Amino acid sequence: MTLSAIDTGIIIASLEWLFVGYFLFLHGSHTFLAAVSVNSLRLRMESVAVKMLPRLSAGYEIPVSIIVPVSEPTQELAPFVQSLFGLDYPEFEVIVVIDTEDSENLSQLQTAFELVMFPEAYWRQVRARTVHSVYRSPRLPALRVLDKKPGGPGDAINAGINAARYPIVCIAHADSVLKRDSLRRLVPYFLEDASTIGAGTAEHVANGSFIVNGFLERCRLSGNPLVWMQATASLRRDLCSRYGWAVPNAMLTISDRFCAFRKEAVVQVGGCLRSAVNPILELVARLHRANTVIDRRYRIAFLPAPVLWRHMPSTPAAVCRGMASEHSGLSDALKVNRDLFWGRNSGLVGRLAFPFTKLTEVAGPLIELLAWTFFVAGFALDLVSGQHLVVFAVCAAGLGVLVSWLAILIDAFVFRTYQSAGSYALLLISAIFENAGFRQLITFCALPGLRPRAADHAGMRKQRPVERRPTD
Amino acid sequence: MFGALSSDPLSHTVLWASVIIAIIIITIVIWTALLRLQGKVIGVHEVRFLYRWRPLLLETIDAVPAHLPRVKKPDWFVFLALWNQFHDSVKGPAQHRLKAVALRLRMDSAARSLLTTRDMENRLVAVMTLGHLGDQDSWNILEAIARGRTPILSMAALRALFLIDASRAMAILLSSLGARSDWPTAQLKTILAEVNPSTVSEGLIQAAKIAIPSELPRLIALMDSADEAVVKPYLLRVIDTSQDEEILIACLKSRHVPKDLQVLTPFMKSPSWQVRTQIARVLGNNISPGQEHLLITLLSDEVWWVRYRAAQSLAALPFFSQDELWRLRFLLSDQFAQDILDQVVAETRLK
Repeated sequence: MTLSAIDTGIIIASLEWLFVGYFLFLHGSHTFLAAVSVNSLRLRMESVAVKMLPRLSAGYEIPVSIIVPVSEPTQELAPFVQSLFGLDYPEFEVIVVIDTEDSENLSQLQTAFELVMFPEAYWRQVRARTVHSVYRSPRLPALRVLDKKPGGPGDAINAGINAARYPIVCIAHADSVLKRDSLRRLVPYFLEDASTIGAGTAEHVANGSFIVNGFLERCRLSGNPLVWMQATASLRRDLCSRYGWAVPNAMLTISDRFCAFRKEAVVQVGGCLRSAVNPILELVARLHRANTVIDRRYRIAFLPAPVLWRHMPSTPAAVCRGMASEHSGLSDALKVNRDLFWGRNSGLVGRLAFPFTKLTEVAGPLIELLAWTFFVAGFALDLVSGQHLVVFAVCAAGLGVLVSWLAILIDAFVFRTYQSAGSYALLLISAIFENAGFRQLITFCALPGLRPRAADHAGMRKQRPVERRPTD
Repeated sequence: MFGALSSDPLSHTVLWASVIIAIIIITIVIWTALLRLQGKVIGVHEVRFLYRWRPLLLETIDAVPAHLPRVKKPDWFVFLALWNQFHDSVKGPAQHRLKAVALRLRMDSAARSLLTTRDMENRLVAVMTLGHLGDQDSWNILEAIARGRTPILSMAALRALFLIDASRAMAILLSSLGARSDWPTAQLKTILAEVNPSTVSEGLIQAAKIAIPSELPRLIALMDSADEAVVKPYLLRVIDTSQDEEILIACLKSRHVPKDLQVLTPFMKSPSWQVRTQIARVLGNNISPGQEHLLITLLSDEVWWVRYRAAQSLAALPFFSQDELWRLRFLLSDQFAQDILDQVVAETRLK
């Protein structure tokens, strides 16, 4: 055997161990995270009798400002805003922030709510572009619409924060679907623990569900297999990753569709980063960073119960775009907050959750793609044995299916998001295809996210939020 | 096949790792399935329990039923949640009868037992029950909860302590107040409003005398629940001597501070815009016809909030019509005053 043959053999064997090791680590970690969270699931199971009784927390609720940032033309904006006023919560206001050049969104709201221009002066607590005008509705006094100079989703949220009057701000996207009690179930985290500064929720798939007056009445799966696979991936991400990290307060990813923050905490860190690809993800990472640096006790909670749904893309191209957008948002959030990694007092979030998320969710698609390419090409070139290819496939896809089944069964037994057993059967079947095919294909979509962002963002990236000490 | 797998280190590792992961997954699935099953069985039982106890508690409002079924440990939470609902909905003798029922069923010891659990809802219902029962034996544990970090539980425990013994609870409130910025002043005022004013007056005055300036505004706000005769001289002394804007604002908000112009007008030139804003609000509730010029002066203040409150106060004056407000808008030469009147007139029209 020549030296080069030995070298090649060592390199091939090392790569085999590396890639197999990655997948064992990935699926093992997700299983471990699910095990961490499963104990607290018991507390989340609310009995029928408890629902029949008045809420014990009644009278202690905190008023909430719901901010609806609109950064692109949205046909469903008016019905969504109307539906927010049906939320079962004692005191809240709705602030719609129109952050687009065209007047379609505004005219839609003007027609629906008979908006009138209102000479409201505006208090700038965090940086945001100029608000041209404020509108109010004679019909709904708790509704305000801000029409502002476009500045991106983060800028729109900041404008909403400036206009918010209540101590809790809730960000709700117009493409999300809620339940009447969504807000009531999210806000108690702030009541139960004074150190709670943020709370996010699990995100479910709305395609195919019965939606009445903007609220989800019955969750059902649509007939599109692409949607089933996204539903499976979504359950896995929420129940085997986010919730597991949230238990020790190390959750870095959160759904930007419906989440709540303590306004004071957001203002203290300067609001959303206006140049961020996904301002909510970036904000969560920055809240961790800002609070760990000064060693302040804080908590970012996660509600695993189904209170939020969204219409998932139903064509391959749209799925790909969505994946690329999610990936670049997370990648950007972690890059901007890289000081969190092993930073001072960064604890579990900086020492474990940050590198884990970076490895499995940011670099993960690239690693998975390299791994599959290596094993398949290696087998074709006779560098990797058939046995090792099978072992790798079992490890990468087989264990992945098991973890996805775990998430689906936890949801079926604890939350019953879908009422029919048939929906769960479909999800269990689609988990096989999601792990053996779909997941590998969509890794291609995530790759553009690894590249530097487009030039038009470059200038804006120089802007950084002003980090102020809490005493400022 | 397994022989081949075990001879190859990579396959061997994957095999065992997969087996371990699979065992953990199966264990979690069985655990959650059992949770579901348990939840379902308990749910059916609890609904039956509610349908059995609702009529009995309803009957208690008129007379304590001769026969009361035993409430078993698993039903304590549902019973106490229902009992508290009834207790909050009735007054007078009906409350005493409900209390008698709870004591006959030994729900005081049940609540004490629930207090030791980790579940927030269990603890909350227990705290509320012990407060309604006036349970002296639970004083120490309720005090510990009131001093704890959970906002909702600590507020509920504080209320329970006031229901048990207002004087002792007052001492706890005053000793913790400085450190408890998470206790909303409005909720504290609600708790104190349920107490006899004479119980709280002296304690608040004594606490205010030794309080650091940052704690004083809250104490002054709580004095709304105290005896006017006791706190008024103190408040007048503070308003005369203090330079601190937060303290002055708290005094101006107090219902025990007389709102005559002699007291108020000097503050229109206060260097603090927050004080001037408060004055604009207070003047609106206290001026008579012919004194509108005081508010009109404030329409040209350099701070937006002062102008806004002054305009709002003007618009709300019962003797100052919308037409007069609109005429005033065109008479004023100050652009800021015109703008703020535009906004307030628009707001008034919206309403």
